[in-house]
Amino acid sequence: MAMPSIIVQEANIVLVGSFNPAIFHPEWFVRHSLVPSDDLKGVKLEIVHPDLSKFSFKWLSIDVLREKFIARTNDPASYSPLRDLVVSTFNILDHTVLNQLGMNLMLVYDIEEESAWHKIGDVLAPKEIWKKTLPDRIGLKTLTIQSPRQDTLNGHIKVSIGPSNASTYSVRVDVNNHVELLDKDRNVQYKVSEIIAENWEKSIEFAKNVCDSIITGALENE
Amino acid sequence: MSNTQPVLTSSTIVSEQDIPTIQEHLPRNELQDSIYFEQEDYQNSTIEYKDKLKAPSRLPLLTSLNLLPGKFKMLQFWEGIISKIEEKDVESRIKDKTDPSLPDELVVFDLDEFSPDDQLNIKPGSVFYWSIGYADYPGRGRIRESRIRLRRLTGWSKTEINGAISLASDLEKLFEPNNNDSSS
Repeated sequence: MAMPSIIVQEANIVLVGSFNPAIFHPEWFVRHSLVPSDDLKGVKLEIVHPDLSKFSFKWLSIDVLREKFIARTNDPASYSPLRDLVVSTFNILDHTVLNQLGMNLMLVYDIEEESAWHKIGDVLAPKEIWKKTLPDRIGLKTLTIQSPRQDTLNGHIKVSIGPSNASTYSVRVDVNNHVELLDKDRNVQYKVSEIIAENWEKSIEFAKNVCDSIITGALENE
Repeated sequence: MSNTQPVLTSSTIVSEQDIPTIQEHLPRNELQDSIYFEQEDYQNSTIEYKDKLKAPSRLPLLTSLNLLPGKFKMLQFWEGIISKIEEKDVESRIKDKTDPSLPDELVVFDLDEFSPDDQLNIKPGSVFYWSIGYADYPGRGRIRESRIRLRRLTGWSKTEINGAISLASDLEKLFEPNNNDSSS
């Protein structure tokens, strides 16, 4: 079977720390030359409040809570500009307390055939043990697997897979590339802009390989 | 499961230290996350997550992302650096990010390929992204699209600084008076 096509994709950067949502306003990004002023024409401003800021440009969405910052895009041509924007933002907001970083990718594959779609669930989560107590139709809703990072950073890779509503027979795979920015063992506080600048492209490529490998591995399983 | 292990019920409170850790399996206390998609399930489920009841601030966020009025299927992506600008000609060296094994190329763009806003900031040394792909806009069919966007970055990355140091070091060696290497 040919590799299923990707019908939806999204890359995002999530930061866990302590934020002041009210300063995150589209004009702030223009004032610091992080986005061209032309981007303001397509801005969708939902709320800017001390507890929550939420707005989007045509190519990027930003959500900020007091404890979380999320920047995401569904445009693959904007993955690098997304990285630049987050790196520059936290170069400017250098004193923000940041504890954790996620460099994440979500892909939805169109499987097209029902039998192949079921096969992915059956291979990843065999049903024998479930059939003993749940005899009626059973299916995989979400499966999450976690593994430690293979580089020198402290953190983990978390992969979740499950069905998607994007098409009749589609599968969504989420890869969470998690980094602990405070390494308590070594007493080191990593600078988030450097970690993102060094690791973003690698993380996206790695995540794409993980997603492709799960889908092809499940479909080709005998 | 062994009979001696504690059984978790909704009324049982077990401290993290009491939960046995099985080698090669995840410890129970690794619950921190830098993801957000779990809350979709939380919002749509009838499962009670005790620790999430305190968090009304998490509820209104993050509906599905629909920024573009269609889809962009990227075919090729380059990162370029501007080397020279002469009137309307922008000379650049581009690196293929879709297939990094390909060598860098020298190309000349018309200045008008850049957005009016980006044109104001272009100078030698500026970095830009160039992507070519299919844009599928609902009701308008498929359009082959070429997009250029200037990189906007404050400060230099460690890689760029190390790259510059390495290049400077190579040049220093090359121009040493007793260097007889004519290959470069």
